[in-house]
Amino acid sequence: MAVLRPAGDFDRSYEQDMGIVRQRWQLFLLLGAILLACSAAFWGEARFVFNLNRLAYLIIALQGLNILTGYTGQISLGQAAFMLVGGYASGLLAIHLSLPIYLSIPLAALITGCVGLLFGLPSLRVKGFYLAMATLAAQFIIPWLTRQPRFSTWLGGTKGFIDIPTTFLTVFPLLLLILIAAGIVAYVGWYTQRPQFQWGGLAVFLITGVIYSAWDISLRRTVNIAGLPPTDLFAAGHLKAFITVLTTGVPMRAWIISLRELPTYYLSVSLITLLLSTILTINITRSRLGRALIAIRDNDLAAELLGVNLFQYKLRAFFIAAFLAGVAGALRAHSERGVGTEFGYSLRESILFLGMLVIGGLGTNLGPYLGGAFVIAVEDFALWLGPELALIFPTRSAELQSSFRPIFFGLVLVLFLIFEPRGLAHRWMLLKASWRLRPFAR
Amino acid sequence: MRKSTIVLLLTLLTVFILTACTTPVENVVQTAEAVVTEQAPAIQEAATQVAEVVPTAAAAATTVAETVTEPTEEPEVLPPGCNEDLTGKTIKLHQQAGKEGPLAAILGQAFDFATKDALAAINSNGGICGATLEVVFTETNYAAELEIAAYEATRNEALIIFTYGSAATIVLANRLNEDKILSFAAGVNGPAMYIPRDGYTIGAVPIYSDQFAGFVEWLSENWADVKPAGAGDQIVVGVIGWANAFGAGATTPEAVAYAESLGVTVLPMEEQALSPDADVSGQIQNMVIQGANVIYNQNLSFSVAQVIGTVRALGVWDSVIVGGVNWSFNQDVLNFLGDNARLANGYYGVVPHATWQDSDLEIVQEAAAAFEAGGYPAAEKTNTYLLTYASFFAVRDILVHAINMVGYDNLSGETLLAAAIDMGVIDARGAYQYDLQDQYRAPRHARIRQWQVQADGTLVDVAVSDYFELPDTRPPAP
Repeated sequence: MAVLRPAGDFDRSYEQDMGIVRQRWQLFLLLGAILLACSAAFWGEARFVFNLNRLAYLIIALQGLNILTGYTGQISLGQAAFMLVGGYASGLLAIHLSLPIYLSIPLAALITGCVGLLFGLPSLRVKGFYLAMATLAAQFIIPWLTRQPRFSTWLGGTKGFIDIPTTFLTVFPLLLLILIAAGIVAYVGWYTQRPQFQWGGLAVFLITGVIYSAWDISLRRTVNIAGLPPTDLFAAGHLKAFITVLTTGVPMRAWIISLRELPTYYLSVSLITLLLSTILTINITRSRLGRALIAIRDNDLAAELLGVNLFQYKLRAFFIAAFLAGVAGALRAHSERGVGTEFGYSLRESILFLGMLVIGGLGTNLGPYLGGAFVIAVEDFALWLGPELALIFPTRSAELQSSFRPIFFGLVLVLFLIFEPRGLAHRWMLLKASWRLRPFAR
Repeated sequence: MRKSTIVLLLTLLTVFILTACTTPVENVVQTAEAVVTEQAPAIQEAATQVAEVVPTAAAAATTVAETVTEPTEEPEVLPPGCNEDLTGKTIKLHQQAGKEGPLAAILGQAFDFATKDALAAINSNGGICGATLEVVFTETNYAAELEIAAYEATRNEALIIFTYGSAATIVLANRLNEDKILSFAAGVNGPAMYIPRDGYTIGAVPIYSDQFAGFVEWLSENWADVKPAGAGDQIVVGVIGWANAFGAGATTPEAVAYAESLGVTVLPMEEQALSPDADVSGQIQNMVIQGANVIYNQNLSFSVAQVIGTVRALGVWDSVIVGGVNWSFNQDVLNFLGDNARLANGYYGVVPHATWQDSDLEIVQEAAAAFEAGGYPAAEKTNTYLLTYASFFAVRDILVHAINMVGYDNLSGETLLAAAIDMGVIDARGAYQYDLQDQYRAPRHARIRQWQVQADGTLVDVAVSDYFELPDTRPPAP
């Protein structure tokens, strides 16, 4: 669909042309939404906060699948299994190498990306439903491997899960404040051509990161966190002393996160990661890589004749999809404080991911957001509506409680696919176009 | 990356900082606590001064009292067995489980009926020291994610949470321990309950490894009497279980070691897909080929019916003993078998609680009366109903004991657990007993029961052993 713009809205520079946010009001709207999301933990109900966090990592997984399926046209039924890999990788890195989450999550994503490459290898030979079958193998092999008794020490074996220690997020806000301030100084220095600010800011940025990493790692080594931490973890004497020294003059408790506050901070981590993954995927789709992927999706033979290396680009798509699934899996594993088949990651989830993407809109950057939010909202709505209807119709109470949600959910999906097969993103674009063309829109 | 993007990113992070740095309510509370701690000596000093004045004041009061007319008010009548009258108050319990989808048959409608009837019975008999008992249900579909979501939504107000799946027990165990919330779990996963030893999860039934070890022990003691025709003296147990933590719950290293110490061979577990249309013929044949003369079901609901049907179809029913965990010995299995329910004739179960056959028990009579009065379908007259019904009376006793110990205002998961431990053995009116002695937090005794076809053609569960203490196969404490 052609992008319709109001009269007078034209670009004056290349940068403006490439801008993601074009209007000031859009920026304010976006900032408002971000503010709302970030502060949800302080005003939202616990279940809402949990769902928001769930939605955040779900969207990241969907963004990966969107690159692979929506933009490259390669169907994958293994996204949940890749999330499992990411969860395990990040968990194991945190447990055995004592890595903090901002190191363990990217590393886990890279590991998952490499696993994704393995399962992407058949993509050169097979496509369509045959490729779906090949990726289905991931969904069977990976969970099966995690349940093998011989790997029980590492992966939990028949138990079906491993515990992941709660992450040290101590002084997280302070650290971020310093990092951001240093980043701003470095940016301003670069923008205003002042090397002292540029390099000074960068140095503070790096030093702060290194100090925090070293600190975090040292804490992990000195405090027993083999399994979940003991409840008095943050009251350990040496830790108290250490924090007091580092935060002299600042009330110590303000920088320590109690276990009860963890969901709040996991939400923050998930939202920041979602923001980064959104920027990444938006930029991928409008780059040379994105155009190559779209060319492969639309006509792979033509793309090859135009010089697109099919195998290489398909593998890149698989890597990105698995990479983002790894990020999502790691976020999920840390926030659920455990990972394994006992927590889900089943074929049903992989299929549901595809469904979400179709609902949201395949091959659009908005699709993962709309699809994920829609499905979770419908799911929650059905969870609420079933028991309410059971109260209204007591004679059918049992049936309504046991069968309403699956039937309602299925019905909504079917109706949706009939009346809006191109997804919510398409509907949104139509709405925007109608608004811009008013009063002439039909 | 474009300039606008960077500006956007930095703005977002600043916004995040502003929100993240906002002092949460807990910190305010903590600060308040700190202030109180700081002021404590001064308060104490003031209190001492007041205490010095009190005897004088008391003496003056006595003089005045002598001149005052005797009060005419009647003394407050407390509810029986209670130190407080809580009339007008409400105590909320939380349940989270799955009532929908294929696994809904595990609890069935019986679970709902029993909850409603037990609450009605308790509340009509004075409630909890006068307080009304309420249950808030949250649907989780037995999905770990939704179990956590339900928990997160209720943990700030929950005193007691009832859960009904191994996944819930596993994913919530550490959270319950940290938040100090008491939970009654039907999914009795050993590691989740006993690592660490002093947790907040109480099992509705003995942990699965204890049940398995108990069944093996009973077999080894009675092998000569119960062994199938053609079976040798060596007991070889094949275990078929769901491909998840529940399925693996029986054959833990401790339980297998115990079985081996009795000279019993335990074959590697055969996994069964958690699906109403799973095919288990391969698994059954595999076990039989390996010499299994006992097939133990670590599954429930439709899966047990699948095993029973397949063992019968393969023609090996008479050459093996088929039995299983307590949840496999339930009416819902017979409901799945339908007209072929008699195929279950001879099936054994480890049953740690009374069943409908124990009609001499008051709780069974009362539950039967409530069930009849409710006009529920006969198919719902399951062990689930009885167990759920009885469990609320055990919880009532714990609540009353805790209120008497610490008072209503001090009720918390911690004080409830302390009260339960103080009670030691909590009798659910004879239906079963929670044992909280020696760091146990589940029933310790069970009977072996068997479905037997009677002369009139009906299938009845019959106790073939008395209650006996199950072996201790808890995972070693770290």
